[in-house]
Amino acid sequence: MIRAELSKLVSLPATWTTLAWTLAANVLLTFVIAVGDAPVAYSRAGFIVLGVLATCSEYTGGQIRTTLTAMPRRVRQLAAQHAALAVVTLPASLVVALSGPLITMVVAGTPVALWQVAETTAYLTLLTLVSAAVGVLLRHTLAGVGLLLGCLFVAAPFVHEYLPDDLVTLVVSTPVLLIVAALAYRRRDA
Amino acid sequence: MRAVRAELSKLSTLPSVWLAALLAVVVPTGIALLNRGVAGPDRGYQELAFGVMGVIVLGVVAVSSEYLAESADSGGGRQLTTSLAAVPSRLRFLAAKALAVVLVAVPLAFTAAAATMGVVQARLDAGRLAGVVCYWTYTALLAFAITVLLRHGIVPLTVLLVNTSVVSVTFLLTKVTPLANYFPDMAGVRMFVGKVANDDVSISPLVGLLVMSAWVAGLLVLAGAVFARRDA
Repeated sequence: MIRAELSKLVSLPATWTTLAWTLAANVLLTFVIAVGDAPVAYSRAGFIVLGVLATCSEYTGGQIRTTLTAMPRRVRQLAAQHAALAVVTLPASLVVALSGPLITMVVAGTPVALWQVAETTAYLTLLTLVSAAVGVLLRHTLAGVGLLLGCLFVAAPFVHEYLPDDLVTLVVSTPVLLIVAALAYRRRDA
Repeated sequence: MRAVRAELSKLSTLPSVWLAALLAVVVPTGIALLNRGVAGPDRGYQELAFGVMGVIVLGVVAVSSEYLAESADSGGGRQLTTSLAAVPSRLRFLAAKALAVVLVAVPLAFTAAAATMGVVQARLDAGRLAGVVCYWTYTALLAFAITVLLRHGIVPLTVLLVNTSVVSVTFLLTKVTPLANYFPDMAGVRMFVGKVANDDVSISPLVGLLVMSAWVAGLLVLAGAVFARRDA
């Protein structure tokens, strides 16, 4: 099942263009900001797009019906889809998380903080999974991307002081959103 | 005029446009509520500068909805082919659509400005209010023109929304080169915000207006030229 989901995901040209642009934006921003992994604060937008695309692409055209004919157990299908997404995202986010500190090391000679890279990688992977869950709930790419970006880039800076650390917030909200998405997905018409 | 009315009716039936309208009013007032404690001459105006999110969604969705393919079982068609069958002149169609976006963005900007200023309880200065309305309308048209060029909403939506964050990408670029102050958003904001966070370049409101007008006019002309020539 995971293999089937994986083959759908990798055969989507949008997956690769999104990742390529994200990496390019991250590298460019590193030169602009010139500090460690700060550019990720902007390039995480690419991972949001990736996550939303992964689930919403089922709904442009009738892919979802084919998918559910092949895998009628909805929750299991959704789990497989998220697992496949994680398989693609984990290495991709590692590359993006490493690119900033690596460039800083080459240019300025500051050593790479491995723990920070690991944290960023986890953050980006979880963010992608949350985005995929939101995509399942909204079923519209633009709406999903708009909502998430609005929350993260416009609203979040202002409510930041009321929230725990970014990574902690994500670790808590990811399973919650995944469960909500799975419940909604299971109950409603495809 | 009938084309404009048709475009308005299309806009008013899009759920995303209503969502955009809600965002346009809620985002700046909400930020103003959270920021109540912060004083300064730009109180309220600063919030209205971040609040353009709603009109960005408006500008993007007005175009991207035309290009969205229906699902295969309802024919797989796109709104655009129907629209162009009804209004065959490409430029007239695009002008009518742009005008419809303006007609929605302007009252939205007024409402948002009134609501935000009500929250911060500051007096609304007529000149700066004109600046806010102008900035919001131009931002909607900017999103509109870029989406026409790209024929898909996702890239303009992502780029423009990321750039409305508190420390925008264009602001970071001003650290690299002072030329970045002449990006449409950086210049346009000067129409009503006196001081952009620790800037050292000062641009007068009038120059800001001219620079942003030039960007919007340029992109609209480019969008019109491309749209007139290319296959729908």
